[in-house]
Amino acid sequence: MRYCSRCLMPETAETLTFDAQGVCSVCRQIEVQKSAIDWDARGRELDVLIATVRGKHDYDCIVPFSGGKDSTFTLWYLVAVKKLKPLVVRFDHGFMRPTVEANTRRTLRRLGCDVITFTPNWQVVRKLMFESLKRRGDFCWHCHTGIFSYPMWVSLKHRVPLLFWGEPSSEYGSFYGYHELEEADERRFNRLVNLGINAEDMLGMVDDSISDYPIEARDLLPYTFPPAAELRRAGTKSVFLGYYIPWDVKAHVDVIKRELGWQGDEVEGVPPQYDYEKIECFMQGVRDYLRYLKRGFGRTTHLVSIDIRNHRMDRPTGERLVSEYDGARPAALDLFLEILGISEERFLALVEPHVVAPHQMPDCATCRARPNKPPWDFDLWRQAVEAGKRTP
Amino acid sequence: MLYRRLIPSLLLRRGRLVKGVRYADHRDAGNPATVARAHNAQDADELFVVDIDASREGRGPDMAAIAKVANECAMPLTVGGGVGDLAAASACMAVGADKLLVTSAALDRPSFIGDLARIFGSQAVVVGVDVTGAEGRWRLFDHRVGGPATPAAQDWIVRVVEEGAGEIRLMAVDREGTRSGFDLELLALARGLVRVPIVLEGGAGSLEHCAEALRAGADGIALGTMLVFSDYNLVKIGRYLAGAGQWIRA
Amino acid sequence: MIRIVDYGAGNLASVRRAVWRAGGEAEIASRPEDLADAERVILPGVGAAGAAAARLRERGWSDALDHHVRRRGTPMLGICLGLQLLAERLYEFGDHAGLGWIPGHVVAVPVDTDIRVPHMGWNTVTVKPEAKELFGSPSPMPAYYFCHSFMLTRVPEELVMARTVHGGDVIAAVRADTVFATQFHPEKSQLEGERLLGAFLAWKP
Repeated sequence: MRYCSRCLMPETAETLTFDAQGVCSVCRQIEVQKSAIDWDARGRELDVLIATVRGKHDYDCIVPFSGGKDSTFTLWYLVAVKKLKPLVVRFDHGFMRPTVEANTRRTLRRLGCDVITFTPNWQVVRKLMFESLKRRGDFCWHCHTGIFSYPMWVSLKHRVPLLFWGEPSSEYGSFYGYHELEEADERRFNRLVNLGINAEDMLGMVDDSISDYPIEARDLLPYTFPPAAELRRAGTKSVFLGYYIPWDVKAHVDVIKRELGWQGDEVEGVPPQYDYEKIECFMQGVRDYLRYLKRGFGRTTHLVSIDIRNHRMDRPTGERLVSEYDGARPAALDLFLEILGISEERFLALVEPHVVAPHQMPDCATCRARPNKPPWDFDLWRQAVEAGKRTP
Repeated sequence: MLYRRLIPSLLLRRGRLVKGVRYADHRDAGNPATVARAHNAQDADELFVVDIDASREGRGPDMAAIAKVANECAMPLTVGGGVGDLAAASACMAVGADKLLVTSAALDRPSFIGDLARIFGSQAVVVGVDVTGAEGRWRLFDHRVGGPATPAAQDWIVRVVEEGAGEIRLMAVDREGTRSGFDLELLALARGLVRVPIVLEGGAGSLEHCAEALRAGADGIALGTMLVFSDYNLVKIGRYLAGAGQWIRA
Repeated sequence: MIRIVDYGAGNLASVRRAVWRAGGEAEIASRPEDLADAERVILPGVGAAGAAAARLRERGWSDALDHHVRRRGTPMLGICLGLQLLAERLYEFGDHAGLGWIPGHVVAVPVDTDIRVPHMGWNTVTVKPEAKELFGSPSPMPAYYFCHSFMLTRVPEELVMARTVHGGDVIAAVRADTVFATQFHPEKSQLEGERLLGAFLAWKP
C-alpha cells in the first residue's frame, strides 16, 4: 500500500491521488489555501452576500446545526460576528450523545436563536441503514441525505433562501478544489453526499431483510433533495462559510470553547487530544471502523494527517498514534448489530465486497482481539437502542 | 486530445433499473431518472440505457422512462432495447436520446443499420455486438434466445460497420456481472477489424480492470455491476485512472 | 425570448433543458414566423448536412434566419450541423449548398491510422484569447463532446475561434459577426457546456 510522502493518507482514501513527488492531492490543495486565495476578497464577497438578505425575510439565513465543532463555530460567527438572525435547523440522526446535547442547548441559548429539530422515523432509519450498508459498505445514507435535504425543505417552506454550511469538502477531500465555489446544491448532493443513491432509488431497493416495517415514498421525503426547479424559483443559495473565511479547526475550537463553553468528548478510536472531533454521533466508532475494514485506515490517520499538513505534528508521532488507535473494534459495534439484528459475521460478510484494493480486510478474530473500552456514556447509547426495539 | 470514456450502462425493466449476472438474476438498481441524475453530477462521459425486455416482448423501449432519463443528462444518452424500426428510433430521438443502440434488430435485418445511418447520421448509430466464448472460440450471441447467433463474430463486426454503424458496443456476455475483468482479447480482435470507436463492456470489477481495458485501446468502457453494488463511483474511478496516467476526464 | 429552430434535425429537448440549466428559458421556433420575437436564436442539428440544408431552404428558414440574424443582428448560436450549415459547400453524400454565410467547405474527417472515425467523445479544445468570453471563461484545458464524421474546413483564420485535434486540426468553433457556432455539443458537455451557454445568453456582440 502506498502512502503520501508528507501526511499519512493511503492510496485507498477516496479521490486521493499522488503526484510525481508522492505527495497527495489534499496536501497540495492545502498549499493552495495558504498561498493562492485572496481571503480579503472572499470576505468582501461574504458581506455582499449577507447584504442581499439581511432583514429581508423572516430569518436572514438558515444554519443547519449538529452541535459539532463546525456548525457551532459557523453559527457563532454568523450571529456574534456578522450579527445575523438565523433559523437553526437540526436533523436528529438517532445517535446524539449527552455532551453534544448539552453543548447545543448552551450554544443556542447563549447566542439566542430559533431552532427547529427534526427526528425521522426510527423504523425507517433502521432499514435504510441496512440497505446502505449492503450497497455501499456505509450505513449513514439516512444521515448524509437527511442532513443535506431536510434544511432545504425548511428553506423553501419558510421562504429563507440563504443557507450557510460550515466546512467545505476541499478541507478533507478532492471532490472540489479550493478555487471552486462549492455550493450544497443538487450536483454536490449527487456527487458527494448521497453515495449516488437518491430517495427514489432507495424506495425500490429497500426490502424486508431486517424488518417488515412498510416504507412508502412519503417516508423518504426527509432524504429527498428538493427539485432543482423549485430551488431556483425560490432563489435558494446554499453556501459554505469555509469558502469565505480560511478554515482553521484548532482556532475555531478555541473560540467556541471560550465563547460558548463548548466541551469536547471522549471519541472511540481517537487519541484524547482530538476531543473536539465528531462528538455528535455515538455510531461514529462504527463508521470509522468500516473505513478501516474497507480501506485500512481510520479517523486517527485522517486527523494526524491534518496536523502534519499544518505543521503541528511530525510524521513519526503521527505514525505512533495511528498504530495505537486506528482499527480497534468499537464498543458501539455491539449496539449497531443489535439495531440491525445481524451477527458480526454477517456484518463482515456485507463489508467484504467493498474492500478497496490493495487493502485486505482483517478477519473477525483479529478484529475482536482489539476492543475499545466503552466510552463513559455507553449505557445511555444502549438505552437509546433499547427504546427502538419493537420485540422484547 | 480525445479522452477515453467511462460510460455507466443501465438496464431498464418495468420502469426501474436492474442489474444482474450474465443477462439473468436481476436485482433492483434504482430509479432511472435519479440514477441518471447522480451519474450526470459525477460527470459521466455518456450514458447507456437498455430496455432489456423490449426486444423479447416485441416492442420499442419504454419512452416514459427514457424521457425522464434524458431530462437529467447533460451528456450524450444512448438508448437501446427494442429499437426495431424507424418509428421506434424516431421516438427515442424525439424524447431525448442522442444515439441509438441496435443489437437484435441488426441481426434480423442488417440493412436497418444503414436506414438509421441515412436518417440520423452514422455517428448516432451504435451497434451492439454480443459475444460469448473465449479467444479462438468466440460466437455471436442472441440474448432473445440465450444462445449463439449465426454470423461468425469477426464477420459480423466488419459487416455492421460496412452497413453504417458509427460505433460498436462490444459486450463479452460471459463476463457480464462477474466482476472478473474485461475481455481484452475480444477487444483486440475488434480493434483490428474496424476503424470505428469501440466501447467495451462486460466484467468490470476493479479499478485495475478499467485501467487495463484503456491501456488495451478501448475508446470507452461501459460499467454496470461495478457502479451498482459497490461504493465505486465515476469520480473515484476517474481520479484513479487519471492518476494512473490514463487520458480520462477527471 | 430565446428561440431554438426546429427544422426536423435536432435534439431540441436537450438544448432547451441545457438553456434552463444555464439560467435561461428557451422556446421552440416551429415555423420561420416564430423568429419574430427572438432576442437570441439557437440553430442545432444532427444528421446529414445536405439534407438539413435542403430542409432549411424548403421550409423558409434560410430566408428567415438571414433576415433576423444577419440583417437585424440577432445573436445566434449554431451547434454541430448548425456550424456546418453556415459553410458554402457541404461534401457529405454528394455536393450540396450550405447557407454560405461564411467561406468554407464541409468534408469528411480524414482517416488516419491513429484515430477512429466518427470523431466521438470529449476532446480538449484550444480557445483563442479573444474567444474566452464567448466560451464563458472556460477552464485552462476545456473539453466538450464531439460527435461527427464531417468537418468544416477552409474558413478564414480570423473567423476561427477554437480548434481541437483529431488526427489533424479540426475547427471547433467559429464566429462571424453575431453568429457563434460550435462543432461540439455544449448541451451535452456538462459544466463547460453550461458555461458557454450562459455566456451566449449574456452575449452582446
